[in-house]
Amino acid sequence: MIVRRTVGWLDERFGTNALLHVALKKIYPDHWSFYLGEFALYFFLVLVGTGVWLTFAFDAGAQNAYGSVLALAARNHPIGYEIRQIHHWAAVCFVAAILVHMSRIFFTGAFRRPRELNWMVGVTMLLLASFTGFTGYSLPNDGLSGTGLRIAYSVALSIPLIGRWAAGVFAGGDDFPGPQLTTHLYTLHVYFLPVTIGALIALHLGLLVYQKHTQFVRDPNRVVGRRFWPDYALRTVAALGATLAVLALLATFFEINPVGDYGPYRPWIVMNGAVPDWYAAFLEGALRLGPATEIRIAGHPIPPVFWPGLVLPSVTFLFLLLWPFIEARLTGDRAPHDVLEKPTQVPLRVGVGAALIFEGLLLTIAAGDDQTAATLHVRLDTLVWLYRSALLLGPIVVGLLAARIAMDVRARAAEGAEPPPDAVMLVRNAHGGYEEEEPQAG
Amino acid sequence: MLILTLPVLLAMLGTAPSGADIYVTKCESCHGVQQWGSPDGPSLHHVGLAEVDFYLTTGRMPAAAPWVQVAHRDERAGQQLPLAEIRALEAYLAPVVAGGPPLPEVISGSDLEHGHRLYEINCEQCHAVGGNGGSIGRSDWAPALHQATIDEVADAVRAGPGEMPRFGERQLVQSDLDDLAGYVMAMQTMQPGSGGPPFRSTGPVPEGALGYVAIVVLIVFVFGYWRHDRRETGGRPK
Repeated sequence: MIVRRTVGWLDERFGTNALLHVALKKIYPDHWSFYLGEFALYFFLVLVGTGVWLTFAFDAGAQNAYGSVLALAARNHPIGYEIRQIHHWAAVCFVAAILVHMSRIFFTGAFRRPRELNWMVGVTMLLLASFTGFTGYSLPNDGLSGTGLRIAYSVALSIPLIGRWAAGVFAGGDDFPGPQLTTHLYTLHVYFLPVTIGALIALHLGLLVYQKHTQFVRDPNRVVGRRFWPDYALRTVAALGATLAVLALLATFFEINPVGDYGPYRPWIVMNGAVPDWYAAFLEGALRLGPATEIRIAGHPIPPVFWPGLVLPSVTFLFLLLWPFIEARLTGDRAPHDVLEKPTQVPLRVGVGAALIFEGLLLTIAAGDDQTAATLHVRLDTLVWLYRSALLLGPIVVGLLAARIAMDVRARAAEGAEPPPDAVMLVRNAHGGYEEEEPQAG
Repeated sequence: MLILTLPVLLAMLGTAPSGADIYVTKCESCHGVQQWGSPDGPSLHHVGLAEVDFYLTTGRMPAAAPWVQVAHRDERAGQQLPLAEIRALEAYLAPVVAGGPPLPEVISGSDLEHGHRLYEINCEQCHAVGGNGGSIGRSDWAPALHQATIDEVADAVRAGPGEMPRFGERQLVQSDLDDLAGYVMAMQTMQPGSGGPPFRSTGPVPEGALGYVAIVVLIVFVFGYWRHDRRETGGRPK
C-alpha cells in the first residue's frame, strides 16, 4: 500500500513508471560466474559503510593516528574492534573478488568488441582498489605498514628526473616520514580513491546495462535469463546476504592486522617477516627478485628498485588494459561478440592467462621467501635463484602447457559430440548380472 | 663379553656420572681434551656459562653429529641431557669457560609494556612479531620463541649464541632483562581478550589466503544455488 502510493506519487510528478517498468522487467542472463562481480560490488558497499564509521573514530594527525586506531580497535570497545575487522577483511576480499571476476571475464572472452572500454574500466578499478587498500592499511602508522610506506617512498625516489619531487609530494615533506604523510594518505584513502571507484562502478554498470550482458547461449539474437523482479532481485539480495555473512564470520573468528602487536612505526625498527597485504605482495616479491644493478644514463643513476618497483607493474597493467586490442590483433577477430566462449575454446587466451597467473602467483610467493626459507630450512639465496629462473622460464612453460591442454580438451569436446561407435551401455539386471542395454529404436 | 660390559652396567646403575665423565663421553671428541676445540667444534675457553647453559638446556648440545640439531632445537634428536647431568657438566666446565657471560639470574618481569618496547627495539628484527622467528639471510634463521623457557631466553640474551648479538649489562640492565624475558613468556601464552577472535593473526600472508577461501565459499554458495535453480526449471533458465 505504502509502496503503491509512493510509486504513484513519484509517477504523477516525474513519470517514473515507464522507467520502473523497464528496470523491473530487465532480463539478466543466468550463470553462477556472473555473481563474481556482484560480490566485488557488495564488498565495496561494506567498505564504504564501515569506512564512514571509521573516519569518525580515526585521528588523521600523524602523532595521534596510531593511538586513535588502538583506542577504536581495543577489544573492549563496543563495536570498534568488529567494525575495523570487517573493514579490513572486506578490503582483502574486495581485491580478491575483483581479480576472480576479472579472470572470468578474461577466460570467457567477455571483453571482446564491443565491450573493450568496460574491460579497461574494470582493470583501472583493480589498480585503484589495490591503491585504496595500500593507503588504507598504511593509515594506522604501525610498525608493519610504516615499513611498506618506506619502501614505496624509495620506489618513488627511484623515478628518473622527478624522483625527489615525487617522493617529497608522496611523503609530505623532504624527509621520511614527512609531517603531511598521514594527511595525504587519509585524503587519498577517504575521498579521492573511493569516490573515483564509486564513479567508475557507476560507469561500469551503466555500460553493462547499455551494452547488455554477455551470455552462454548459442543464439546471439535471444536473451535468455531472469527478469529483475522478482527472480533476479531476490537472488542478488541472497548474494549480498552471503557476502555479509562470510565477512561477519571472518571478522568474528579470525584476527586481522593486529596493529597493537606491531607497535607504532619507528623508522629504525623493521620486523622480520614483514610483508604487505596480498594484493601488494607481488611488488614486494619483484623487489626481492630484481637484480641489484644500478644503470647510469648520461651520468644519472637509475636505482635498481625502479625496474621491479615501477616498470614491471606499469607494463603489466598496460598489458592487461590493452589486452582486448592485443588479442584482436593476434587473432584478427574484430567482429562484435555477445556470446561467451568456454575457456578451452581459445588456447591462446588460456596460455596467456595461465602465464600471467603463474607470474603473479610466483611474485606473490617470492614476497615471503624469507619465511619459506626459515620454514623449509633451505638457503635464502637458493630460493631467490630458484624463483628468478622460474620467473623467466615458468610463464613460457606454463603458458604452452595450458594452451596445449586447452587444445586437447577442445579436440576431445569436438569428438565427444557423438559417442564412439563401439560403446555399449551395461545395465544391472534383477539377478545381479550385467546385460548390454538394447539400443533404443528410432 | 660380560666382563667387558660389566663396568658400564655398574656405572649406569650407580649414581649420576660426574661432569668429567660426561665431558669425556659426550663432548671431548669435538671440543678437545683440554677444551681448546677441534675442526669439528669450537674452543670452550672463556665462552661463559650462559652460552654453555643455552646449548645444553635447549638440547642443541650434545650434538648427535657436528651437523645435527646444533642450529635449532630438535626434540627428535633425543640427545638432551637430564638437568642433573647438565648441572654436573657446568660445574666441571665452570673454571674453563669463566671470563664470558656468567649464568644469568632472571625473574619474570612485571612491566610487560616495557618488555614489549625492548622486544620491538632489540628482538623483532630477527625473531619477528609474536616470536615466530624467521630467516636472517643465507641459511641462517632466528628460531621461534614459542617453546623457550625463561632461563633459555636470559641465557641467549646474555650469551648471544650463533648469529645472535650479545646483550650485556650495558645494553640491558637486570630489570630490562627481567621485563624482556617476562614479555617473551607472556607472548607464548597470550590469549585473545574478551570479545577477541579465537584465531590470532600470523601476518598478511595467511590473511590473504583466507580472503581467497572466503571467495571460494561464496562461489560454492552461488554455484549450488544456480544448480538448484536449473534443476527446478528442468535444466533451462525460465
